[in-house]
Amino acid sequence: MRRSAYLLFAAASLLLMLHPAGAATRPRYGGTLRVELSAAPTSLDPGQTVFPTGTQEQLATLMFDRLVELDQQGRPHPALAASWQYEPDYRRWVFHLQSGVLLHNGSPLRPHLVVMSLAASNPSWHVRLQGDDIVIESSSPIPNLLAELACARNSIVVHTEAGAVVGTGLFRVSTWETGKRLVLTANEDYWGGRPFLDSIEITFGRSQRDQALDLQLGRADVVEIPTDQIRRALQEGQRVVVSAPAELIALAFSDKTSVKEPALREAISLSIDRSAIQSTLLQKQGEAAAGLLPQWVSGYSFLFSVATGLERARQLRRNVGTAPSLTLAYDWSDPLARVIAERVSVNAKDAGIAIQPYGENLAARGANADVRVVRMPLASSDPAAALAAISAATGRQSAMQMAFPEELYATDRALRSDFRMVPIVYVPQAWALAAGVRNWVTPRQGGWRLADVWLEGTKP
Amino acid sequence: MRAQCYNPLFPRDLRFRMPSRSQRVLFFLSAAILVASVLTASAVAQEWDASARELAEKIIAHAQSRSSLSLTVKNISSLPPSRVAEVQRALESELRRRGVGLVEPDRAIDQARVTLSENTSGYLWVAEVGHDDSWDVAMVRVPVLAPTERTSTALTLRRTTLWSQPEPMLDVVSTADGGLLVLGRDAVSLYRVQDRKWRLAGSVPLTPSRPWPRDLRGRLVIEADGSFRTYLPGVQCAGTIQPQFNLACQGSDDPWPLSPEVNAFFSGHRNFFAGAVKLAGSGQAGDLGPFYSAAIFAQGERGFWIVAFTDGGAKLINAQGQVVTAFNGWGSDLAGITSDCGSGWQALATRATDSTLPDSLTAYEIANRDAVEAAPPVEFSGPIAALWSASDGRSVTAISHNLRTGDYEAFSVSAVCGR
Repeated sequence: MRRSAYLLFAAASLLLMLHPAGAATRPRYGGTLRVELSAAPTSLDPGQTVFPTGTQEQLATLMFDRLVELDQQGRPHPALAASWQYEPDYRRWVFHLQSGVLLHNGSPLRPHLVVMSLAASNPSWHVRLQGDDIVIESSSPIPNLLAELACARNSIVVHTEAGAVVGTGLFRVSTWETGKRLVLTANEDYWGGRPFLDSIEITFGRSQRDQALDLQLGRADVVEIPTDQIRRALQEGQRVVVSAPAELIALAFSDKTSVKEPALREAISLSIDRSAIQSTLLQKQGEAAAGLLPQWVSGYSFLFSVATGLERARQLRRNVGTAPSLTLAYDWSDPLARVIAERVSVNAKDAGIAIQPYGENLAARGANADVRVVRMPLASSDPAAALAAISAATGRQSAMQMAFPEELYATDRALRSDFRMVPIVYVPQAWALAAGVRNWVTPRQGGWRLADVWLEGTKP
Repeated sequence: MRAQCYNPLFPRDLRFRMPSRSQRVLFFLSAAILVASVLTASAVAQEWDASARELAEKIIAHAQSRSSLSLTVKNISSLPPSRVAEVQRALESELRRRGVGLVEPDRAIDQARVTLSENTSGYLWVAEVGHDDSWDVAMVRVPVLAPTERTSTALTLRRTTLWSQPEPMLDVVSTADGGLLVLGRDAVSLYRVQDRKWRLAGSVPLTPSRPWPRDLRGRLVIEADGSFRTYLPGVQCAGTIQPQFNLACQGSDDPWPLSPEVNAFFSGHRNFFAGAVKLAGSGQAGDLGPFYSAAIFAQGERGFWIVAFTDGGAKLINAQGQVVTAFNGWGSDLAGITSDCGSGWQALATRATDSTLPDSLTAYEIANRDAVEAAPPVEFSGPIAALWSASDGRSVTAISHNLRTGDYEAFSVSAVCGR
């Protein structure tokens, strides 16, 4: 055997010249993943979000870490926090940080930086240092704190004196052309192990037509598939990955006097034909939404009726008396938001309410309209954390009891009781992938999980 | 012809009642299935009972009258339709036990409309209790019972569960004194049975000087004297189990054992063997090129290697060092076992897929320069993250990441003769 083995080694160099056969289970290192998006974010700082979009959160998961991560089953796992303890009443939590974690600028992640980051994004928490540990206290119990900490909005972001934002995440920023192009390179010192990809190149502001073309011509590896195009893409045999319903499209009413009457807002809500929007405009993708959470997250959303109440809407409209023609803004780069806005306008007209839809660059500045069509990404697969995020995004940071399903149900109703936020539909996120993209995991709640993605055809 | 091995299933004095072997097997399997079914049904029923009790109490709390209540049950969850009737029976039983008179909806003072729903935590049973426009809502969380594993009558690969835990595992080995060593990302842990339960007997943290590679691999090897060695990228540890559980680690690029005869150098920052291999006895060395795994059948001139290279190809190499053929559809993890069946040596290979999909292990034998499937694949509930030959060569340890539960599960897989 020994002689044979020696001969074997001598001939071994010939092996690599043979053609590879089939694919492999284990990931390979290297390559650049080319992603194209229609959105054009103006900042990489998750705290500087002008308008809530899924894109900002997706980018945050690449560059920044959180104290805790949730797995596909919704169970918390250590991330920047190596371990934690909590008091039985859930009012006080202590987190022990991992040691040796480096920021992208090479300096160590100090506990006080974590305190500053969490305190900035959670004004209702009392976050402080206790030795090298992080203490989070709240006057009301926060039993779902781990799920909340796993949300992108709780990414640990450090602001340098030069005004830049740095994180500890999988990838570091190599090139950033505002709203146009972002190049991220692998963080070789990542505490969880270097990602398999060498880099990610993201091109923003690409129309859906250009994205489809670039994928076809091999100029992109990952492109967006609009919700109403999912079925067609699947029929064409494209490699499409689809999340569960993960993004709420809703009407968000302003504080303007034109929409100050709750009855008017309720009338608009009752006039919307959500089922027709889901079946026709969305080609039966997603789900009509009357609650703030999709059914797969809450388990109780079926209790909220999505049926149109046109008679009641007309009655409410009559009770309001004179009402001006309302303006409804949608993101001009979002074709689905446009058709939904137009449908809402038609439905409202049936109830005697005039609404004029128009497109605006919502990513760059807040709308000046009476109402706007918003997309709210599902922040967590944990219903309490997801509701808390919606509550925070709509400016209601009040403490809520959400330990039991009945409390979640009550909170969901309470957050919508003034009709400032009117859910319309929950849509999935969908992506078309090039053949060489491997290990792509689509979290049920949407977003990216690119840590383990690798590219076929790259040499390790 | 394949050698047949058979171990009597019954004591000799019972065997005269079984006219043939096939009938005995049939009888045994039927009995086993019957017992398993009864136990499973009983467990499921008990699970429903607790939740039905809780929901029944909540329904009663919201109902105006106990004398005439109607109950309807609708299922919008993934619960199989066959189980819905079980839930309905359990709810009816619990309501009646509390003195509720169940009537048809048209005669009821109150209605209880129960919807079997689910969310990310498990099942959620929702009861709407009331009448006309006055409805209250009550809910009960119901844990999902893990399904029992299916058994097959045609297994030639036997899979035995060694260990399961939520955290990633790299390797698991049994110790000579009946314990279990578990190599994780962060620690080596020793478990022992106490009071018929596995309990942690000791754990030594691993503190690498730099972050581990993402697709971390590592293996445990029990030495002849009962001590053990741990191989990790750039780090090796020597440990003892008796008289005290101890571990000492140091940075090391020494080769890892691939088989009793061959060692291979592992890349310190990646997830593959760098290519350089070394014979254990003579110290002769050579370079194969980067590879993920290799199964080595060492028998003089009849010996051969099967190597899963990092380019995705699995290749058969004969004792003369010639590439005989390449195999399609094999994954990048493979390992060899010896058995008393067939040719006496089988290569176990994962499937060519990625870690987002369930994997399987297939046993192959080499015949006429080709790989012949020697046993039906054994399916796993997730990707196989590690596959190592046991030190005696009779079995492999497979670590699978269960995609449904998220747990990491370690199995010992060996060849069983006969079908």
